Amino acid sequence: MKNLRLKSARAAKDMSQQQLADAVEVSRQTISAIEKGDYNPTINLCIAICKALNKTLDELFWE
Amino acid sequence: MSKLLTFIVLFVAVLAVRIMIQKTQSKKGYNFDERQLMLRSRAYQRGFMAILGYNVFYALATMLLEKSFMQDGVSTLIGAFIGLIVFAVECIWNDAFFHVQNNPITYLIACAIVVISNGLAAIDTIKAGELVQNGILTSNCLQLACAVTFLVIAVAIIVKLVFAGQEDE
Repeated sequence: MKNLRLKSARAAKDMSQQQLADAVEVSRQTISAIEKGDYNPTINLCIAICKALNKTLDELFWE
Repeated sequence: MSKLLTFIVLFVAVLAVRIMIQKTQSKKGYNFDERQLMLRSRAYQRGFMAILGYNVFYALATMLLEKSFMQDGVSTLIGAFIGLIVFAVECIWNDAFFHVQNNPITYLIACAIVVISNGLAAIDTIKAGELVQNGILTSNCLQLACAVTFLVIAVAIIVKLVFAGQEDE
């Protein structure tokens, strides 16, 4: 299932996939895979993404 | 004895170079992320299974037909090349081949050098008729195998780059 909340939160901060990837030290393809729902990130990566986007886990990853 | 010594010296040299490269890369912050590591482990597994499958197939073919198709050692190295192709192509296809901050163009240039140098040597071997002797593939085929392996890897990188270019954010 696509993670549209992550995509919109990233867009709201005016960040590209590459910029978010650099901020959380992963590849751009990994951010793309998370947004497409092709990859379930670990809790550590979820937390890093939330910190980079100033969001909570609930806001980005809770169903 | 001298062959064994040469092998040990070469093995230690390759190991030392590998460790030096790894240390340099870790200092520069080159690493794989968690998704890449997971996919690489799956690719290792599939590469290993491909080698096993090939060895079983070759062993059965040799036993059933009571005929050897390759010189001693060549079949083992061909198996290693097959495993390498499976591992590399799967990693490339899943975006798990390059370090997070790596540039694929560097790899493409390296692949091109290996393909051209080994390809030219392989062409000479084929022209001299040294590829197959008495119906058996000789160790001279390894340059061709190396060229083909790196050609497949280079093609996989190019195809992936084309697809990545079409992918929108």
